[in-house]
Amino acid sequence: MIYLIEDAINGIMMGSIYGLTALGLTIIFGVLKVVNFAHGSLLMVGMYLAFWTVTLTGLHPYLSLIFVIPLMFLFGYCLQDIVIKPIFKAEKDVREPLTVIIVTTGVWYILDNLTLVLFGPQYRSIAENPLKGKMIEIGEIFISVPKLWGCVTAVVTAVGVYYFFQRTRTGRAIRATSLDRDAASLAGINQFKIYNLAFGIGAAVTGIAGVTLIPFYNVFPTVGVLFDIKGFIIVVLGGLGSIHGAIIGGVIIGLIESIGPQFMTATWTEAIVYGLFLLVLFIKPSGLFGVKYDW
Amino acid sequence: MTGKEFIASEKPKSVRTNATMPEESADSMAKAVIKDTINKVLLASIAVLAFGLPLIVDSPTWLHIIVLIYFYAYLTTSWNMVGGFAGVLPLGHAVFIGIGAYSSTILSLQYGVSPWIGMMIGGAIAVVAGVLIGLPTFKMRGAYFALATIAFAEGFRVMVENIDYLGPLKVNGPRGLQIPPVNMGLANFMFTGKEPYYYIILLMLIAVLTLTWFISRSKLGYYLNAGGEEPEAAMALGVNVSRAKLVAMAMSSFLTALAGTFYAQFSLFIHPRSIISLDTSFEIAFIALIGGRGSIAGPVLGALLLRPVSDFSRIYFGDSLPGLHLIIYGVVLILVMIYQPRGLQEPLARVYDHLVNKLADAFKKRVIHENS
Repeated sequence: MIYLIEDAINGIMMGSIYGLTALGLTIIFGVLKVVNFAHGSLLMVGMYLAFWTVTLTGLHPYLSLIFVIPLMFLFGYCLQDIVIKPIFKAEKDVREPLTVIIVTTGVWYILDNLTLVLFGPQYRSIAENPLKGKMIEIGEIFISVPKLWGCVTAVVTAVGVYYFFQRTRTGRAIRATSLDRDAASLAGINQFKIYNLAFGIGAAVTGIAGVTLIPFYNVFPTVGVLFDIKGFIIVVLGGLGSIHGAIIGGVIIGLIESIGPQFMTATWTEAIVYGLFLLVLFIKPSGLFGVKYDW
Repeated sequence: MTGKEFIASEKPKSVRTNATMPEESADSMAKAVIKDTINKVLLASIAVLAFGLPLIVDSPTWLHIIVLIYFYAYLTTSWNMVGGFAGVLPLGHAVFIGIGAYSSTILSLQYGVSPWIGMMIGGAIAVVAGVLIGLPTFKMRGAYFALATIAFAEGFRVMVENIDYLGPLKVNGPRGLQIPPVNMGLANFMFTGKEPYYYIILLMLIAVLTLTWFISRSKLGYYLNAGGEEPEAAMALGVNVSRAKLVAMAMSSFLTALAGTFYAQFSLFIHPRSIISLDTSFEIAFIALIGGRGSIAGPVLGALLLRPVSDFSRIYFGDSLPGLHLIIYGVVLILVMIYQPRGLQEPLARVYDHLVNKLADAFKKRVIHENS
């Protein structure tokens, strides 16, 4: 029983980190209506940025956020502005342009393999890691400190993004664009600027996720692929475009992955996750908290 | 290149309809005949070249590369029936390759069934799987469809990796299955040289191209096209879009499964991670998109252009620059999507058409000159 509780706590913490990795995906989809297949690669870039910042400067991993957030925002902003915008302009009338998905797939391949060429296939982890292997002991339950930090960061980030969207002028403009592009344009909102912003914010949030991962996770060129598929599953489960949906979806997946192995071989839990994903797609494609009109 | 003529051969038809005008009729008729002849001569010479190639190429490495080009052209043409004509983006076709490969291999290893029969059984199972996947997923839009097909393929891979025995059938989980190279010969779909494989995949490719050509001219082809472009309008006209898509999916999965058996017999080793891999599913889609999805020539052109890039960069830069070919794929994909969203077959077909026109004009002038 005590193991089950420990697994559940671990699952919730890991799950909220999963949710954080998927948060950027859901933000970008919510506004652009595009499933960004390059999302895992953005996470990978964020992890490498954090890794090199920590390795070169010797800062505390979480202090690397000072560099990672603006750099990732800039990266996402430029990526959307240079690569994705031209296609959006060509396919203006399509609500959910397939071509953009294809282009993001191209971006995924380029980023992953460019990293492979630049840094090689080896697994890297930060050497001077103040959080490494630390545990808090509550009774008989052990809680991993880096995951706890990640969990807290995930919740803080989600709440922050939520308030940004609800309370600020820019946030409202972004929400207006996501509800109805044309109406937003008529109201004087520059649609493409909002897309750039949304993509930048999505990338920055993904960068935060990268920072929370490096204290206990290895960095390698294809690390994004692991989180890519998981991210799709999480956001569809929670509802594409929904911020709290992403975190809750992440927690559900995290719980399945951590409690599942108590009852079956660990690899089968993966099959269950895919099964659950397909089930949600068939029964309620808008997910748990998504808006109904888009599927 | 084999397919370029199909597109070009559409031209003479329209010229012939113009030929009803009395003054120009003889003139344009002559030109149409000349163009038709040029197309036929080119097609014939490509056929001769394709069938004679193993006589010229004696290096097994080269032949291997060419076999893989045909293999991918075949796969992409099969994919194109759903991904091209039906206008959706399936990203999990590796599931059918896996079904084909595992069906024939398990049957031949355990029950001594000839892989040729296993191939057909694998195809039949793939049809069932394809329809079962298609029924719920075709209701979804764009991205959701793509994600669902990925989930099916990945879920299938995870299951194969976890199953050692499926009832009496030995699947052998993550270790894969090895086909011992004994009893070579046509009946066992196993050969010592690469040439027999070359001819088998060439014939398969020709068959699937011919089938696609017929479909693109059939009612089904028009239904698919209409359903892909404007589903609501097509349905309003009484087209049963979802049934047309299901038929296309069934054919596509059947044909893809045959390729799975071919690959199993060609490499004599199947492994869930390599045969049901997401990379293969994506590569098929990439080849189709770069070549030109929804066209007959596109997949062949795409495979001809992209496969050598991947093979040669792996041979020459595999150690120093791993992943180089995937960077090239990505860059080419993005550029094509931005500047030639209908794929590279379109500008090439235009250039070809232009050349044939010029050639036909030149011929005509000479003929008139000699007559006078």
